[in-house]
Amino acid sequence: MEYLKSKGPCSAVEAGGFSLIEILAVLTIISLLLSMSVIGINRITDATDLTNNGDQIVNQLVQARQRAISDNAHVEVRIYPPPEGNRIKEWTLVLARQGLSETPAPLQQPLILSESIAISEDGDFSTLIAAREPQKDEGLMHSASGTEQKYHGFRFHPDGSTNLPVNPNGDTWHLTAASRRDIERNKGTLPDNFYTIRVDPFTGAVRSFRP
Amino acid sequence: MVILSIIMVAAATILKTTQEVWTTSWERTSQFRDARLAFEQISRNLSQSTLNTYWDYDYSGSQSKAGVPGGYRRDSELHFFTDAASRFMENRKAVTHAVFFQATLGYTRDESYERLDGLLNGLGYFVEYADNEYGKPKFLIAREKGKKSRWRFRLMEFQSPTEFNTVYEADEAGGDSAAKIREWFSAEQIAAYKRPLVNNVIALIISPQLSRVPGTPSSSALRIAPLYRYDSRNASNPDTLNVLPPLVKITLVAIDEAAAIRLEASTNQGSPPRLVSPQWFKEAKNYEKDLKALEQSLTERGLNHRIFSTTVAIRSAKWST
Repeated sequence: MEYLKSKGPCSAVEAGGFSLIEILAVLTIISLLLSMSVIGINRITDATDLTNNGDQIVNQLVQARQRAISDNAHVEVRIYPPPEGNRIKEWTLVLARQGLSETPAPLQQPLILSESIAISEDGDFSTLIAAREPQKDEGLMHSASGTEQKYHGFRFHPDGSTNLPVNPNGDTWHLTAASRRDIERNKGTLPDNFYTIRVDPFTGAVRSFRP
Repeated sequence: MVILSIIMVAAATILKTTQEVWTTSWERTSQFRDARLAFEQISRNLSQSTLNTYWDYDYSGSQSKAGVPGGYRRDSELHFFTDAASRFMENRKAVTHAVFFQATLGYTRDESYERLDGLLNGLGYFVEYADNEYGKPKFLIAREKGKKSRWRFRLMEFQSPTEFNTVYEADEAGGDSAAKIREWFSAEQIAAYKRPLVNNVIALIISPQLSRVPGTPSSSALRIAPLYRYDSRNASNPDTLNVLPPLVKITLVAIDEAAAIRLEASTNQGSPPRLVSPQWFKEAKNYEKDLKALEQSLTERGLNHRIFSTTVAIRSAKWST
């Protein structure tokens, strides 16, 4: 009997078990920590996506300039906003070789940005998008529904310069990419984390700015 | 525990030192590589400078009468100009020498002119002490307002597109002043069409020269620009009027980014540190002495630097001695 009293599994106090309140408290703390880490992980993933996508845009622009010089041709950079009505919102970048009389031909596979990343259409943050009239596609890209898409574009000349005029607002030619969540949440304000890419119309040089 | 802490501290110190050495050497090599590229660009463009001279009737000589020319003279509407920047540029932050000339580079912003490779452009090079706001989007400038700017000496390039090149607007025969003749590189023109070529270039020395005739003193080659001044539209100097210098010696002095950071920390924001004495590079005959003094001064201040120098032959110079 003595043995059962001191070591028996029925005795909650002596076996060191938890009450329901304790278990609930622990579960609440764990769920709080988990939700906080999920927010943190989301931010880290968005930041990584932004860096990767920003770097890829820079590489594409540099490559477009290089191809224009090496091929002695005009290379057009076409930036397609996500097609209207599409569930997946992806921005696309296409490089097209543009002869004066030829029809444009894509130079390589288009660069499709991650769905979590968007290019701001704000007039201050993306002059290349907001201040350039969208142009009709001429059969290079079609949306899933088969309709021609509109794009914002500019050209690199064979000497490495661009066809971008002096910006009438006295600003530079640039675009700003950021997390889609941040852009949709803070319309008209600059997100904390962004990737701005500037194109020098004079030389075609590409420069990036991060916070 | 103590041993572990010691090992951790030692590892962190080694890592930090390695990182610093790597960053410094990377900045040094990339800095001087950019300076070399810029130097090659200046040399290439300068060798293509042109005046496109022609022979015209001379009505200005003593032998000419009303409406009857007294002979022929070499004429041109184009311009080659070099001098100390402080003597003619309104930009107070421009240091050492500046050079402005015309070259057929075919640069235009008008797409309908694109296939015309021989279009004339105004070009210029000078060194300016400036902050890093050039080429920054407006919203970033506004965002960083109040923050410290990065002030650096920068080698600037002026390149006016052919449709904005105003060199033909001046007419010295019509009595235009020197200021009017230089209007194609006026402060407004320069502000509109300048861009930084490379950071941390502290001096640009331009010395127009003749080729040295064997048996003559070396100073004889410097007689066309003994004070580093050359103006192809200066009518008071018939030797250089409407003629390009056959040779131009270009010297470029660059420091590395680490030296520039140290300099910035030791000076007030916006006021250029005096690295090149105003007494240096005033007379072409003292070039070697002045360059040695500059080198010595930079070494004494612990500023890592490199000097690039070459003599460029201008192909379209039609010089006869």
